[in-house]
Amino acid sequence: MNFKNKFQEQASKINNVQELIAHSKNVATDEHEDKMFVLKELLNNAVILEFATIPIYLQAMWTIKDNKCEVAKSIRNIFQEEMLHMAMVCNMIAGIGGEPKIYNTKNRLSFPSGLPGGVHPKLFLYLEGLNDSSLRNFMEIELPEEIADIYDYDSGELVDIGNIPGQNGIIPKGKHDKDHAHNATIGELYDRINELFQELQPKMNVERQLAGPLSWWVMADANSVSKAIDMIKEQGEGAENVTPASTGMDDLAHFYRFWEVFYQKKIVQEGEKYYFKGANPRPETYTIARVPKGGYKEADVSPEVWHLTNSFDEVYTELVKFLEDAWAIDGRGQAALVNAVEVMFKLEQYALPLMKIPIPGKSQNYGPSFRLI
Amino acid sequence: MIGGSVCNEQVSASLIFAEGQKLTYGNKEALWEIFEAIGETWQNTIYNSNNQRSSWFEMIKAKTENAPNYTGEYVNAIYVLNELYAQYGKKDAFKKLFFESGVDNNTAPTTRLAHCKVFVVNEFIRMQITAGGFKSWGDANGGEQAKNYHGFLAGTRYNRTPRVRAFDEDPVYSNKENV
Amino acid sequence: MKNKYDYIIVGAGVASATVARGLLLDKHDASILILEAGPEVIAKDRRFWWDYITRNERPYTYTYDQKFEAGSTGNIEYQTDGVRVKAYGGSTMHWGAWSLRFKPEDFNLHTNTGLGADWPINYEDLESYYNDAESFLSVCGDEKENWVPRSKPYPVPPFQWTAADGEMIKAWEQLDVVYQDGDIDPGNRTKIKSGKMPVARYRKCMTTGTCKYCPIGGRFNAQYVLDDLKNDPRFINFEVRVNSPVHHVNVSSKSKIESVTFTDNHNGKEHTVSGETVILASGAYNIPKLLRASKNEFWKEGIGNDYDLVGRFVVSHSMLNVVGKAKTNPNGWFQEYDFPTLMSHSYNTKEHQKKGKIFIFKNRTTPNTDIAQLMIDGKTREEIDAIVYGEMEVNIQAFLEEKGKYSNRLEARPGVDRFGLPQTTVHFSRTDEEMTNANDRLRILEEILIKMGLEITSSKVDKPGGHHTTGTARMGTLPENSVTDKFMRVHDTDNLYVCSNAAFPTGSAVNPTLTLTALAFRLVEHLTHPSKRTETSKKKEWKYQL
Repeated sequence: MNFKNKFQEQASKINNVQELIAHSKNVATDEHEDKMFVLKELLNNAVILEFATIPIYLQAMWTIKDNKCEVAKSIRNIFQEEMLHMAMVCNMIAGIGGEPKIYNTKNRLSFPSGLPGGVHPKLFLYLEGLNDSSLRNFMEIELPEEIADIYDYDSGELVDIGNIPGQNGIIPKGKHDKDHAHNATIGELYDRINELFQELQPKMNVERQLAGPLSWWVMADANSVSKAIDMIKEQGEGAENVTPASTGMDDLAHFYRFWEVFYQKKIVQEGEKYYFKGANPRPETYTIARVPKGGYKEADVSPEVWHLTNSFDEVYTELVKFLEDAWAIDGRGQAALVNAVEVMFKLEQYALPLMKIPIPGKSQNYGPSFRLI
Repeated sequence: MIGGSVCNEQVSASLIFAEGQKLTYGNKEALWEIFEAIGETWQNTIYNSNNQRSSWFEMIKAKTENAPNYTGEYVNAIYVLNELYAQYGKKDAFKKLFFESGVDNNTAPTTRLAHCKVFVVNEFIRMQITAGGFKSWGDANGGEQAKNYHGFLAGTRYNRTPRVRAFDEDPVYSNKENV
Repeated sequence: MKNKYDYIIVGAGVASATVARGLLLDKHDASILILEAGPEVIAKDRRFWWDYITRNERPYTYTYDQKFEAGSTGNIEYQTDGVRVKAYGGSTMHWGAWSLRFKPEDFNLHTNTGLGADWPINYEDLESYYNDAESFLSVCGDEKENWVPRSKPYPVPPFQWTAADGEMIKAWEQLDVVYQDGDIDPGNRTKIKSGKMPVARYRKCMTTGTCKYCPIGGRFNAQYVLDDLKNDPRFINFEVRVNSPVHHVNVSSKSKIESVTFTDNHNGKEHTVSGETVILASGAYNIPKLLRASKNEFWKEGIGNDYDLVGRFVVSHSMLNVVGKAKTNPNGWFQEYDFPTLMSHSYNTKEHQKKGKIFIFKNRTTPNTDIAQLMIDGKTREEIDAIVYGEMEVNIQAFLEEKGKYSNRLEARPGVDRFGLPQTTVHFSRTDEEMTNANDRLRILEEILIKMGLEITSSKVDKPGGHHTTGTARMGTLPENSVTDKFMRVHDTDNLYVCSNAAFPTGSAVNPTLTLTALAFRLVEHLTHPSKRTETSKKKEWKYQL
């Protein structure tokens, strides 16, 4: 890796997103190259953040037995939007001549983990299917800076989101301890990326950008980047004050959709107020055990289980490599993206049977480990 | 008959031999202009041609990195276009090529112009329609804009909006909860 | 390659893939050799896909019988060219994947009408295997429909009807089901009922509409199953050889099949491999030719052919085609799916069996405008709009059930195809009564289009397309009137099976593949757990005139 100067060298070494944002503000106004360098670093952090949510959402969705039920569709939609956000960020990277790195052996995604880049130090993400603990974590990832007031229709009380589970997986009692630090970080990350794009107004290379079922548009200029970032923030994480109505009651932002599943009631708007009204029962799921750190080892499981979990990991690794290949400088472009889309469905072939197998001596089942091989 | 000595030069009907050849960046930019002109001429560009660029580019790669290699045809098309630009100006050059070429699409192409029309223009047209240009039809009389076409990768049908222009009274799908 | 295997399977299509998979899941180290005459054609290749889009070329069509490699005699031309793919994956390379169950009456055609034959099993005997087959092929269907008794719902939800389908739905739901003479009128009038065509598509289907060469493997293709089996590290004794046409099945005694002899098309060398059990899964065309070619001292006229029945009773489906036109297409509808979504079984019932059942569906390619072609032809936007929103054609189609006859026979003729397999000829004739019945059925379809307000522009019975050929080694209770028994084993042999449409005694009015797959699942159970299965229905032995 060649660094022109100390600024760039430091930028490439910083793992913490907050610190990287701060460092990016140290650059002198006319240092075009340094700005581009740190912009690429910031963008890559964004890619990894978007991608980090995908395994946990996918496995939660797979545990739902009826994949056509409302909750499954809702989570599937959220997953698709995350892929979309990731694709748009990849387009931004390709547009300025870079290539995204998801298969990152250094920053390797493994579970349990926090969000990459130290974005939320208190968050512990486990692969544990769909339950109170995971749902509350999903809400935390997608937390807007200001949560809209929503009342329980029956009791009239204002509903508090409560706290995130501790490392033991148990949600401590009590009201939400507001620590919006992490969410501000994600919002700040996108804001800083946007700022740099607007300052630099780079000539965007459209040749390596991809449009298709996963991403809607190509980043032809700084203006389309701005549009994209607005959409990412509005639909998902990093939003400032998204209310249920801002995206439309039929198209709630991810945070509110997860809250509906968590609280088991639907959000409606009556007059100026929002209410949780109308049952939204938790769908029937396969209860999977928390996947242990490092995943299930061959020596510890039956050959049948090993076949499934190992095949899953192989396909998952293929998926990540296809995604990188799609936007790589000498990559296969759209062809690799088509392969990635197909392979995404192949994951289910191994995940679903795996989730039906009980762990000997336990009342819970196995789940995929999402290991990169 | 349009064009000059380049367009009307006689060539063999078979695909212009090009094994081992590659397109340059400049070649690809020139070819992209044909694609954009299709959308402009038939006013069926959806939002921005750039959104179809990655699909178009993938096709170009597939056609030039595998046998039989189309690089010879693509470069030929650029020669043809350059002569047409010189003779008629860019805008009219495309009009002539698309509407007045005089090429019979159903017989073997034996001139440079005919090769350009059959192997490049016609194929780009099919690709443009397939990759999204078809969406320009359907709503002229207040109906629904077209949603799908042979070759269009629409996305999975577990999405919330239907992949096709669907029958409203479908008992399974008209109920919103069932979608 | 070994000398001896537990199982040798001839042919690498859906039957072969289903059976091999079942056998391997039961016993991971079972030794299985699949011999496929044709080549392997790469699936999901990007260049091939782009050539399909831009030039309408597909990479497997070269394996078809050419017109000059197959012929027919009789008073109807039987189409044989272009109907089957001779390659790894078989005809599932190009099939539309319409996956419908046969109905209970299809298993008792002779008892019900005095024509054709009965199956030696009933629908109930196959029902649970239909569930397996639908799950395996990933059939997308409407769980609310109740055309046939079913114990499990479809594994995947159906595709939505298109807006254009709606016009036909509204029309035929106002029409009574009519009974023509020969039909059995049940007395109660019902309207024609709309259904959703069940199609074998995995959940990843993106309705790309290029089903015949799906870029993402959305439509079921036996190739994918075979690839998975080959790549599965558990199945250490599973082999597939392509370019290996089998020319002879060899016996050691009348009842014991010993080996098969094939040619390696790369170097012309002949090989003989032994199998404990041999399963012929190479299709209704190949199997009768192979059986008759396998003459020996015990089987003078070819294996299973003592009563000269191999190849006889051949049927396929004839297509009834009625086209109507409307003056305008204000919504500018054109083709969106590459499979039909609207169908009806209202004329595919026991009452219509005698005269001839028909399975009705709306041709997915109508209404349509080839917009790209109009642009290629140099039409302006205004001219194209006038055409897109102008005259509209709608085509309603139906498969007509044909009933097997002794005199209709599929056999080899002199010459070989490009893979060294014998060429084919089909002797096929319809009786005058059948011709009349077929033409009478057209009236039903015409009425539907007229009710839609269309003007009929053509109405005809097409020649039978050999795509759904069945019957050439049919099942039955006795060797005197059939070639195979109720488990598809060739009569008087211990270990030779026919897992193919060839084994069907009747062709029904719907596509055969789902039924073939169900039979394949049943065969697997018969081979791996023969004591487990007891017939749920007893069918008596019956004699009838051939």
